[in-house]
Amino acid sequence: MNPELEELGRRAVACKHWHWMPGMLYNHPKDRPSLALRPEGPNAPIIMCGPGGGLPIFSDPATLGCLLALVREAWSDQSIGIFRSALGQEWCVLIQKGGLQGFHAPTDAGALVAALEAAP
Amino acid sequence: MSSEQLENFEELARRAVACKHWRWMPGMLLVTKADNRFRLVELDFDAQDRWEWKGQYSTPVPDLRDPATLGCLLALVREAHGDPEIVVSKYEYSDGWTIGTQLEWEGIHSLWGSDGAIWGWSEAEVLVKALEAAP
Repeated sequence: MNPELEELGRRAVACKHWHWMPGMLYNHPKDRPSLALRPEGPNAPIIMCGPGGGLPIFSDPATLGCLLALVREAWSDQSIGIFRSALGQEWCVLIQKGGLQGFHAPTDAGALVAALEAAP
Repeated sequence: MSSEQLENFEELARRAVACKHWRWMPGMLLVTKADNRFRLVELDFDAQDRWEWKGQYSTPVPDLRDPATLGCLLALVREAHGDPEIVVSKYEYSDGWTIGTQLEWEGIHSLWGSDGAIWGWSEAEVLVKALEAAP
């Protein structure tokens, strides 16, 4: 995992709204990437297939889909999406709640993590 | 979720699997006809580099209500259209969703399907339509 992605993973898991979701891929320095799973029913606890203490891998499409779901949950707005910023050089998440706010970053994962950090 | 909505998601899932650009990806949630659910962890590919279901249950379909599966489906759509900037967006004039490329403060430039700009009542619906519309 490149250093930028690793840093994003660290920031994400430090957020108060962070929780693991089934289907997320995570990395551990002493093992190969593993999946977070929920084996039994919607209310069962999440199980990590590999060692704990890993970081989410946001280059993985399933993990990115889960991150978007976390942002929507944190802001209580299921319509939140992500798109390119005005100059097309960054990604942006626009939040309407409590006045319009934009969260920009060079990557889609970066913009989503910034929006997750700022959630009330 | 009503049974009608559930059937709609199942029908969408069947359409997704029937697309020429479809493939299973790790992280996707599978659901069988008997409502058994499996999370794809690793894939063993066949000789044609396609993953084949070898389980004891009937051939599964993806659960398109699952966030990880939707993330994978978006990745498939981007790959099929050759555009990594495709996003799904809430349609500003109704409760529906559309899909395409969008710049901040501009309306979305929707992808086009056989009936015009792609639009749907759920993210899953627009993603499946976009996968079907890919050349």
